[in-house]
Amino acid sequence: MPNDSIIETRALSKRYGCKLALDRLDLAIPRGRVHAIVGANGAGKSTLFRILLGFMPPSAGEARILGKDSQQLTPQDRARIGFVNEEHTLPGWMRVSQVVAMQRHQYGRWNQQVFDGVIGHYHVLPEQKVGQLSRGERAGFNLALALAQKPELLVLDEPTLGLDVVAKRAFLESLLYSNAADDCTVIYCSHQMEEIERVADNLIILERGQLRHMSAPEEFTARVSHWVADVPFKGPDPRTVPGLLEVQRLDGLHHYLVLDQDHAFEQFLRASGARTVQSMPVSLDRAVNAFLAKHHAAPAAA
Amino acid sequence: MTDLFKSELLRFRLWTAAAALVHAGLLGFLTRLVDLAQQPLQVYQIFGISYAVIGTLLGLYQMGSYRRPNQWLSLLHRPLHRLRIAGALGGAAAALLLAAIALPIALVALYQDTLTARVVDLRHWLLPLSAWLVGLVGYAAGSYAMVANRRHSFAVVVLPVLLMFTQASGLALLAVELTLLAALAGLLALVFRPDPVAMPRSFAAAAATALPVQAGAYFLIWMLGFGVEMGWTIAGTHPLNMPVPPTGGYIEADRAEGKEILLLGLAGSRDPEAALWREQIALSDVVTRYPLRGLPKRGELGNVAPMEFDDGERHLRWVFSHDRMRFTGYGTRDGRAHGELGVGDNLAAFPAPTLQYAGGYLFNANAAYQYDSGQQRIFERVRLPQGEVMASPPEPAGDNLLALSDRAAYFYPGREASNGVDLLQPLLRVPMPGAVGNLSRVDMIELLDGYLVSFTYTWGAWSGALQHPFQQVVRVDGNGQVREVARRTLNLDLPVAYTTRIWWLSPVLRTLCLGAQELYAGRDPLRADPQPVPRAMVWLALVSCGLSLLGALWLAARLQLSRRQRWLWVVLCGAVGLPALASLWLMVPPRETLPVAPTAHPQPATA
Repeated sequence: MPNDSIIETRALSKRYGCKLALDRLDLAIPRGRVHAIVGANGAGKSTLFRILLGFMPPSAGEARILGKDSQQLTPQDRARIGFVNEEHTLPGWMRVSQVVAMQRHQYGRWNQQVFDGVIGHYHVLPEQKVGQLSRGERAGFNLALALAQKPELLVLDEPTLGLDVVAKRAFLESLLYSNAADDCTVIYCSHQMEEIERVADNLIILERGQLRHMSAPEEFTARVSHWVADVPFKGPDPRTVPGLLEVQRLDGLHHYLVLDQDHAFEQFLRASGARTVQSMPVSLDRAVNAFLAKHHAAPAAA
Repeated sequence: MTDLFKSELLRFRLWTAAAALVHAGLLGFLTRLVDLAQQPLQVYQIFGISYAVIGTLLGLYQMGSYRRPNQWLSLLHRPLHRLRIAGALGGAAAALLLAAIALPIALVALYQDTLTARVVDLRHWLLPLSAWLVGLVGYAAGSYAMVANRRHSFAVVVLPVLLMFTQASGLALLAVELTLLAALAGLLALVFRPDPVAMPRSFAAAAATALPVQAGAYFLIWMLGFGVEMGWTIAGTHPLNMPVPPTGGYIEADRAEGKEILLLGLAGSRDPEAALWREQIALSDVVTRYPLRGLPKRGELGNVAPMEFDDGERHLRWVFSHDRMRFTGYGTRDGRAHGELGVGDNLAAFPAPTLQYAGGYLFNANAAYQYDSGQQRIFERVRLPQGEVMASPPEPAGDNLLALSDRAAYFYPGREASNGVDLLQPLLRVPMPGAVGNLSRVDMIELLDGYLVSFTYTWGAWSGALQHPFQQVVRVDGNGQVREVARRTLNLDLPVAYTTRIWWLSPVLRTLCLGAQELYAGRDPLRADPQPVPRAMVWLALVSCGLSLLGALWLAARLQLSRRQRWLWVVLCGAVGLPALASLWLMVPPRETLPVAPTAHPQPATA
């Protein structure tokens, strides 16, 4: 495999019993920038991270991180990879200053300025015990620790899960305004599309363990269009609607969210009896949700 | 590594301080009531189990808190080698257990040594170290159970059980504890890695992690055998629960009164005097002796029984010191030191640790002694021949005294024993017909010119260690002539396949267990080696191993094993037997088969 990707998987599969968490995943994430990975629960994101960090062997295929086999990572490799999980697992019995001292000893490239810069966004005192920090403060502290390690790759696995609006904003600002984040590749995994819209340069959509899409977020948004049509009666059979992601009938109007449709779709609607047709852009949140909901499991009768 | 070590110390410092205070308080309270250095073995075992449980709980809690996926990732995803992380956690636990377990014991020993006249030997100073090692063994087992694949990892708790059955004592016991700790630490090192549930890649490492699983399965299958006994009990057919035990069996022999066992022994005798002896048995007092199962060993950490006796008249307590090999006295009222007692007038050192027997004699492996309160002296009264060890100290048997060695019964003159303090010479020597380790009882009556003595060998019949129980009755005349007058083979009462299941389930593991039990231990003359099992049981073991091999052939083909590993497992299962097959099933995950075609997605949901 070439080494120009910071993360690269080839035909990566992971099976839990009779269920495939990763299904021959081919993924190549280039160095630099912020890459957002989204996917419904069970899409295989956590499994992917565990395999990439060497905490789980793949059932088949290859996974490389920083150009190395993910199952052969050395302590020196781990120093180059920062990881922040949604639980912000930190030793709650230690004081903030003690945790900082421990990390400073362990990470040779520790940058105190970066730490101070990030932690400045929070009202965290060195003598405070980690267990006494609020969830938002713990998230910020965890981010500060991870960035101060000066990693080449920073993996943020749903870091704002469970945070309130203020804490989320503080977290994102501390990430965006830190120079350290500019120097490394950031993998940002989240269900919060407004966050992804704000931070991500690249959007990666996983579904059922497979790569479904990878592009800039705005490119993905551009692929999804929202059409409102005044169609009498039931409208066209959904099975015949090209690129259909979602259809709703509101106030007598049919709302179609479709993928990769141009103006020909208007002709389709008109040919199906639409009296008026209107197209409008969609938000990333709505586009991703519709995209993921399309293949979501549903009862046979649905 | 040092930071993690300090972090763990910080984490548990309050709990440790509390545990140390409670421990010190408990020991301090007990030491005001009794001499903790002179307690019977069971007391030390209870303390040892407590320390092992404390260590296990610490290991379970500490590793359990890290073992959840995100915590495990946070712990191991750092620029430190996994073994340095494990070393930091384990090192901190060792320091904490040292403070909570060893320090209070050492403080109590220091108190006894400096502020009381009680005996504190080197062996007592080793107790904190031994207790600490026991705690560490528990910690390592608990940690392994929590870190490794929980489908089978809890089987590791069978390994510390070895400490309950080891024959080693003193420094040898410390060596056993260290060996066990090293083995458990090695197992922990094998699984302490980012993916702890995965099978080790090398077969040697896999076999090492399989050993506790096999031992656990072996123990479990053996224990399931007790279900059979419960079934017999419920059905009312269990020989041990019948109102009248089976005729001619070992249970009948064990339960018989003295007169009954002599009459049972003589039942088949063709001796012309047999009828006369039966009449005499009915009229005589029968003396019954049960041999000792263990002797005190110099430097042992525990005691077979408290190594002390009281002189009630002078309010003195004499405690045997292993360091000085003499008794050291102190007042039971004033607690003041009262000198030493050795053998005879010159206070010579005893040849072996000596303690008091129920009959009043002091004894050790080589000899028996009598304490004279008036002279404040101890005199040697019985000395066994070179190479023999005491199996039962002298006690009155009719007009004389009877003592048992590991090879013979000795009769000593009762009158001389009562009237003097000189060394007694045996009147009669009656050789034993079997190993003293299998001897369950000796019964005798006094005849006009000698004795009628019965030796009953049933010890180990229930556990399968004894295959040929028997009873022998001998006539000893006044000149010391010994003549066998009756001998009968006793039935095993329980099916041999049941009693010997511990062997045929896995001869390899049985040998390994016995080897572990004897590790670093000297030969105990009062223990008998297990007798060879009947040929039918050998065939049963072969069938069991064969079934295990066939089962492994079938199972291994369906598991995630390379070709080489598959055949190594098959060989292992064939050699070790069914416990190895159980470990194969528990440890190796099924072979994963990935679909060749892309997965079909379910129908999309539509609004």
